[in-house]
Amino acid sequence: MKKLYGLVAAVSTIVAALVASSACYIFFYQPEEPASLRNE
Amino acid sequence: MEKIIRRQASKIARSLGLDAEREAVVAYGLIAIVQITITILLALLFGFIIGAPVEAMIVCFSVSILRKYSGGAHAHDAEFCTVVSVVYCTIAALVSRLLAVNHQAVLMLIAIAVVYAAVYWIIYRYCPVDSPNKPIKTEKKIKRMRRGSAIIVTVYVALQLLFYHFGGVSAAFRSYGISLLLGVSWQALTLTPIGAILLNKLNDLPKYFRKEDPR
Repeated sequence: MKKLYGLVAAVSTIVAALVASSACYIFFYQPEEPASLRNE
Repeated sequence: MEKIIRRQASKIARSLGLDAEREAVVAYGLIAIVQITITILLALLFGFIIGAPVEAMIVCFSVSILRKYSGGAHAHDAEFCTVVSVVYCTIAALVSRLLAVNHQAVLMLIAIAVVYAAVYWIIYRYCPVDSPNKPIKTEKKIKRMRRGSAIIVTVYVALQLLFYHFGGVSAAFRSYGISLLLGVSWQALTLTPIGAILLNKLNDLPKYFRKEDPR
């Protein structure tokens, strides 16, 4: 289970970093962006 | 949906011994994965139901790719965002199919010219439109986002002209062209104050359904 969690965490972190470089979330909802991803 | 995902992210973080910030990053990425997957799959499903899956996907991707750089007005929660996106993709796909039946070349060319002139002006005037949850403050990023949006719209213009050219011989291409035009128009609208007001009004819609009967 830990391996699966590790994989999910890794993929989610990559997606979060990809989304962080854009002006907003891809669709019409924008959750609060974590401070470490902010590049204002 | 967001609450469930955050709970899962918290479980993952506890299991892997991640700190609060790493947990927030995992949750942020997970919300993106789930929301994007659900929205695309639902738009595709409804596209198949109305017999226009390609058109639904053209609307969906033309909005989302431009949105990456332009930003725009937002829904208050993820579920409502998915509903708005899927409903618009389906309606726009259906409208594209219906309008493509009659070939009105001159009218289409006028529509293309008017819409893209307006889109370029809107990008120059309002782009990027940020949100309190993801502010854009530096001049450098603003310029980068505006330039990115203009490049994407220029690629759309090239695609639009290709669809227009092949639309003379194929109704499918006419339909694809109209889908692209409707996708770009919707995304440009969400950049304007009118679009923000419209989306705010739409955001209030679920409240009416939740309202209990006073009797």
